[in-house]
Amino acid sequence: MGKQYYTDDELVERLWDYEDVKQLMAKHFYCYAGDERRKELNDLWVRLPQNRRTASLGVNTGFYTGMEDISNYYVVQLSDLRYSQLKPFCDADPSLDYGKNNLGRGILNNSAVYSPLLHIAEDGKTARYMCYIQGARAVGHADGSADCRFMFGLVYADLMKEQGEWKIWHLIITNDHAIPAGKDYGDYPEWKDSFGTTGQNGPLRVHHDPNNSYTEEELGTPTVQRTVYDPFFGWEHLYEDMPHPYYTLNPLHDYGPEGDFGMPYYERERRNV
Amino acid sequence: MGLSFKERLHQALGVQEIERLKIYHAYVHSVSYEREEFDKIWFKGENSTWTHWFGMMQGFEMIYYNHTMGEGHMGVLDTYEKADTDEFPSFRGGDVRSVGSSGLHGLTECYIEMAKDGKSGRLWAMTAGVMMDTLGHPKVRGEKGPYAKFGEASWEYYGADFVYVDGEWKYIHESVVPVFHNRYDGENMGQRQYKVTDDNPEHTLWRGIPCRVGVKGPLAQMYDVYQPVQHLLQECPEPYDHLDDEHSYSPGHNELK
Amino acid sequence: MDRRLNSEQLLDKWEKRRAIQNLMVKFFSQDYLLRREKDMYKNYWSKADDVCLAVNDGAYKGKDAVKGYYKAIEERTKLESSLIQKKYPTRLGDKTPEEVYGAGIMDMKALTAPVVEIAGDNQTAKGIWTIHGMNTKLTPGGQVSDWERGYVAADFVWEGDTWKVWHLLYVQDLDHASGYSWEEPEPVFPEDPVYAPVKEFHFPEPNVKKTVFEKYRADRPLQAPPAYPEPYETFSETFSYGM
Repeated sequence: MGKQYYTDDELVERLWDYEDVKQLMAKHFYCYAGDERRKELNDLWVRLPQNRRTASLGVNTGFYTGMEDISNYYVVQLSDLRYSQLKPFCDADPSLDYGKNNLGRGILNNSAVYSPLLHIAEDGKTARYMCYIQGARAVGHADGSADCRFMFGLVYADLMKEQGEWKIWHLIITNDHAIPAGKDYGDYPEWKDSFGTTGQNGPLRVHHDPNNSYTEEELGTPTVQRTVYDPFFGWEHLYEDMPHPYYTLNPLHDYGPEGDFGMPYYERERRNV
Repeated sequence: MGLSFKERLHQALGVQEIERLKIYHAYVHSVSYEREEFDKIWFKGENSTWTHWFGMMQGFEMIYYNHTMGEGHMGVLDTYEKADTDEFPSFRGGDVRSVGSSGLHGLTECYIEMAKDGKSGRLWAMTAGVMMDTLGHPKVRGEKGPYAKFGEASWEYYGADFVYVDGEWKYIHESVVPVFHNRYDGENMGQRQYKVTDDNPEHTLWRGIPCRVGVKGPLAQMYDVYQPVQHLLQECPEPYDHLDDEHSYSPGHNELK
Repeated sequence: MDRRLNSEQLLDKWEKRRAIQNLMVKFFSQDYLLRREKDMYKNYWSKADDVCLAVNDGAYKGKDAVKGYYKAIEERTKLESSLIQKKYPTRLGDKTPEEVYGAGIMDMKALTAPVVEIAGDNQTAKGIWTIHGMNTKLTPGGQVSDWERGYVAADFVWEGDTWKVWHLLYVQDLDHASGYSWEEPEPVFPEDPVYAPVKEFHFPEPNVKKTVFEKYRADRPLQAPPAYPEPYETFSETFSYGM
């Protein structure tokens, strides 16, 4: 058994760092479920100007970078989407106000957050987090029908301690499977390989697969468009990408657009050289 | 007698490390990185045990053999088969353990109790697992097409014991109780079981023993329409002084050897 | 982390927080699975008179109402068990009512995403979790499994040397048969004469009638999760999960 590395006071702080990071990420999922995204960006994300510039939000098809782009996508575009989803309800029922108080009508967005794995950097300045989401998402329509899906995917985050408080800096929300409620996944069209045109053996893809993942309008147009997650290749790089014990955050391997997340093995090797 | 500040701190850090080990296991298992699990986080002794309803593997060697040569290799061979045909050439050159995988024994929040002597910890948790295959799973091949997608909820619960050896926390006992499977999302598990049992009163979910074990199952029951409540093998641990046969998910295997 | 506290106080607070995590896993994951509704009030609830259990369509307020809620689950389980025993005489016919209690039905509730805050005065605490469940119940048409999505949030009070539940908010976002889309009506299966008596069982209504949280339907207004707790000094400073 080695000698004690940290002081007792430092160990207590790290004990709480673990809980605080886990709890911060749980709060993200509650905000996400309730469309409380402005509150999330204000309360849970980085605040210092230099960190706001480098903050990022990854989806399957790319990264939104900087808080302006993140806010535009994550809050403004969602609000626009919610208004467009509300419109048919108001058309069908003129007594229903086409206003902010009725946004989210017909929406279900529930995330069960499994297996939160996290490590605090040895230098105590950053933390890395990963979890697996089993989501339930539904979009209702005025005619009483609804698009109801089980949504699955891994979520990754780099967090940063700003003035003693943990904040989200880089967040990646991937999506593997979007299975309609009441239908067998086996009834989906089978996937065809397109060797040399995507991912592992070809350029990074920037489009989404309509049979999996969120819809194109939900994914939007990321600032940096490249493969962040391709469900075809699954979790091939999960072991490299998952949080491991570390001294200080290495930008080559972080969960932001400068990191190698989503890149094929040869790109990763080239960067390491 | 109450514990000192240092002893309490050791226990608190142990709670987090045990939770982290359990989660780490879930992820590396999901991509068949069996060496990264068994070489790193297991106690390598004859009293390590791994139990499922089909039986108990006794001793690290048997656990290691079953997982690395059995379960892990089956997944790898399946991927080789896909890449070897001309159907999925993109998989060639990929890591056959993990390429295409995307299923996980997703772990819920855990109940964790630490021994007063600080040398062991015990965990109880559920898993709401998902078995996913975007490119064909043996269960649906032929039924839905050769490379039909497959998704299934696979829920279980665990009792696990951990020991503190040479300054590190290690797994010593894992006991898995499978509860149900439900295909996403074209079926209703309860109704399926009801109908199957109505059609055939002798119906059983027991599928035998798929690998080498020291104690043969069944050691637990999956959910069934006539199943008495599962006062099964594991409940949340009670406060305890040290790992022994009264306080263990593997009675008879609690000496560190 | 509360930076005003020294390491001894922080460790004490961490242990109190961990105790709440253990309590809730045992309560919702283990004890629902093992059908221990008979002991839930005794094992987990506060002695306070103003205990409250809020559900989607109201609240069971006060000791008697909360006890009555669990008693009703127990009575329903007894009925279901006796019918299942009657249905499978070869397998269950020789069992006592205690042995057969809970046979063939199952509540499996996974808890995730905890946000827990211990009051500065250490006398109360608050927490919220996401519930993801599959519950298999008996209907006149046999067993039916339901996907459950929801939230459980609670105020806790320190009594003696342990936490007890004071106010509990347990709401379902979704409670729908698996294998069917969520906006569709619940499926009805052909009646099995042995199981027909389950439709006679009626669960007691909450004594406070109020729409607390609407389950999913295609035109449901947005239902945000219950608010997660923020750090607080003493209970009078914060909101309550009770009614």
